[in-house]
Amino acid sequence: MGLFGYIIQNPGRVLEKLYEHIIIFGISWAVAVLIGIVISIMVSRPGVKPRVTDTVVGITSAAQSVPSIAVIAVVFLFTGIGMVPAIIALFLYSLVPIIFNASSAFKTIDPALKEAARGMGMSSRQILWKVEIPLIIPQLFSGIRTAATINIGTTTIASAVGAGGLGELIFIGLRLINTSQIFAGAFPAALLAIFIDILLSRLERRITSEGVLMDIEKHSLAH
Amino acid sequence: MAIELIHAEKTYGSITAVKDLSLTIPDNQITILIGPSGCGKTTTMKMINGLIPKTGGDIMINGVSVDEWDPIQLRRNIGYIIQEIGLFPHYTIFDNIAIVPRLLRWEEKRIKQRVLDLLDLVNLDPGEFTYKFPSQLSGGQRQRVGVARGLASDPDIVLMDEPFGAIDPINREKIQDSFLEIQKEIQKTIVFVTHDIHEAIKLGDNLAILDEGSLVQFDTTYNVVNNPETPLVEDLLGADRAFKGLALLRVKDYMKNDFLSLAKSTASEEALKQMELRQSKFAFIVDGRNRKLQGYVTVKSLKHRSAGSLEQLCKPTEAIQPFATLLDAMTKLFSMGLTTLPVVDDRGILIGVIGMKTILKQIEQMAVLGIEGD
Ligand SMILES: Nc1ncnc2c1ncn2[C@@H]1O[C@H](COP(=O)(O)OP(=O)(O)O)[C@@H](O)[C@H]1O
Ligand SMILES: [Mg+2]
Repeated sequence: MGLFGYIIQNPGRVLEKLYEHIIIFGISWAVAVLIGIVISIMVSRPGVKPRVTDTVVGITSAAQSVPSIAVIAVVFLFTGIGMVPAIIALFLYSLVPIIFNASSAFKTIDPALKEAARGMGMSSRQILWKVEIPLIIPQLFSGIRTAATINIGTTTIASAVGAGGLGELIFIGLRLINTSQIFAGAFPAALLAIFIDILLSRLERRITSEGVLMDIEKHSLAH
Repeated sequence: MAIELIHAEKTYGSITAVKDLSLTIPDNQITILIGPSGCGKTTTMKMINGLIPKTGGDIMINGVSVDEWDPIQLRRNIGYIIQEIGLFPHYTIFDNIAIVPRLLRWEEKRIKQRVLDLLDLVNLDPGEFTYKFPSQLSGGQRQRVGVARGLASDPDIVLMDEPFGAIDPINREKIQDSFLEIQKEIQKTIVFVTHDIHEAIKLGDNLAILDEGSLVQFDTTYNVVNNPETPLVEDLLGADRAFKGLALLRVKDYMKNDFLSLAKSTASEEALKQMELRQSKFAFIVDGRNRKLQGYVTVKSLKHRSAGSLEQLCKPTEAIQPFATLLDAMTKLFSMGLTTLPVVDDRGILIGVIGMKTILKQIEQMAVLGIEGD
């Protein structure tokens, strides 16, 4: 029996676990993207003290090195087992790179741009949508993509708290020392991660202004 | 008047950035705000377009207090150009210039025409630059785009805060020259901040000198240069140093021959006609036979007493010789209170004129080249 044996013999079960995986990842990640962006916008408004923004960037920067399993374990302690605790834990964990990247990107926007925008009579909302967001796209996407990749990987661990997903196949496979079953969990998870990342990179390229790319290139050449 | 500051004031806690500033900015001219760093130039500018709320006094824009203007509308009606330019890196040159017209919801067709006209105005080939991004332009080109963007909605008022400060000296000269040409065409009411006295003298119709938030002197550039009212203004002008440099230059190398001279026998009606034809406010009177300088007449004096010969109206004048220095010429110009001095050779024959403008230009250039030395 080859590596693909388990997949060939149990396509329905693999698909079911893949589906669960996508649900856990999809919900926790999408909500994290949304809320992460909102939080980043809120802490980077002109009225907010720089100290607050710095604190948020600092905390998220430090939080990135917390192992995912620890987050899952802590959430599991408070909420018990199942899919919902897993989604909550993964949401929290995905939030970190998104907020870190987006809020530090907001912080590094050249103040002269905002100054010029205000001086030309753009409202705060127009400055956010027409100047700030387009400029942070590359860094924002770097956060979103990191979150997606980590999230898909960590979702396999979430199976340990009874969330389901492809991790289940891996854990059972490990216990039975069944390589093909381990593979049946690991391979689709890896494919999913690669697929999502390609999709996001396409989307990123599509919505990033050519001028922003040139600007980044120019600055990286200068350093 | 488009801009009027009435006892305007800005305090930050105990710091007074701008103190009791009253200033009526002449329309359709370039008024320079100049003074040492931190004297309140930028603060003054930003109070005009409401980027910084004033804490006292009033500022009237087209007769309406800035307090009554909707700040967003006010800013869309005032051009704003800063040293850092602040071009949007994610916008093409076209889109950058189109920002304010789009905020004002102009039709795309009108915007397109306007952007192309503006690129033309600032000497950037529309064919080459329209769809480039800011990062593909040189500093000087970017600043030209910045100027175009500031003028995009054809505002009556344009505020420029050290717009050419970050450009290298050679390109700065060029962009200043083009800017003067542009202003000749567009005749905007421009408030221009600089800390560079040479730029101020070159570009300004009027100079407002600020120190520690207060107005020290406000007058035409010519009057400020001729009559600095305080030691600070004198220092700022660096008069002593620049004047020393003038002593190195000979009148003969800078004199012009675009003067009007009339024989003393000319009838006064004929003289008036010629002066009006040449748009000259005065004419030099020479001896018809040997071209020796006799003096000068003004249009005013001729109109006053239309009858009579030129000889009777002729006023004596100082003259200078070709090998005298520009410093000598300047001293004589000051003592005469005139703008132009006749140049005569050693036989007293009128051979040219030397003007205040020429001398000021030299002062400016020497400072740029550093000839005045120390
Ligand atoms: N936000 C601020 N808080 C306190 N002081 C300020 C602030 N902005 C400017 N100032 C002070 O106001 C004075 C004038 O500043 P500014 O108008 O920027 O000077 P400049 O003539 O160099 O453009 C300076 O002394 C500066 O330190
Ligand atoms: Mg300043």
